[in-house]
Amino acid sequence: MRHNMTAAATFVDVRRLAEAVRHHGAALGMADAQLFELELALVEAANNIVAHGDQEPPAGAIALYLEDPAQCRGAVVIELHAAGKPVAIMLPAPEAMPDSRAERGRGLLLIRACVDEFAYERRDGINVWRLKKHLP
Amino acid sequence: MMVGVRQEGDILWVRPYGPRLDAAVTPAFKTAVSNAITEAPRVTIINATSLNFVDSTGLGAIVGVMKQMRSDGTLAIVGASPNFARLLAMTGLDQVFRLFRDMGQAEAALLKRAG
Repeated sequence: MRHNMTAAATFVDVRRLAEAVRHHGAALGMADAQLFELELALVEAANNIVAHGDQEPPAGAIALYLEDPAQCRGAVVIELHAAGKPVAIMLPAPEAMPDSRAERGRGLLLIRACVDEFAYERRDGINVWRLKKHLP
Repeated sequence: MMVGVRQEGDILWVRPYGPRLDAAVTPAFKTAVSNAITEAPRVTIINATSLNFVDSTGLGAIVGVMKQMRSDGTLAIVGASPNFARLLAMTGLDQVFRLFRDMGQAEAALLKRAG
């Protein structure tokens, strides 16, 4: 995978990651609705990293990796790498959207709804979030 | 983020200025709205015409506004972009908020009952 950029693990810098992913998707011919879904999934994953990034060890930075489109067989593949504690991902069922009065708890479900594959793993002491979305 | 907030009686108008309502700006949005509320609104009208990206944090902030309203209140979102409308549909909140194309439509539907 190609290392695209590194951003500070802050909510403001998540916007830089989003912009890079949006440009990447647009260059691959994704339509606006698909770009929005890709960007939303990326932002929700990065927000999760930032939200837990103040624990020891801190996340510090988020590295964005974009897979070479020629290697992806008609898909966009993105990875976010960050230090920090291992994350306990409890993926709820797709239909389990929180109650309408809940102010939190929709992020992971939105990732699942917006991309075709979503995986989290601990790789060499680093948290790795992998998103894959098929091109039209 | 600049947020315009105005309350007249039990009607609250909210207008975020800027293209994104995301985790970077939701604290400012929440503070601006909470500071402006003098009594629990019966109607809240959010002018969303400047927003082209809202994430789950921004959505949570809007739910937070709803929770400061009267229990029988109506929260309206005006001018949601196609992507924002899609987010509302994905989360089921399009069944909770009322969506309007423009301010005139929203005010005609909601304010004539306000008295």
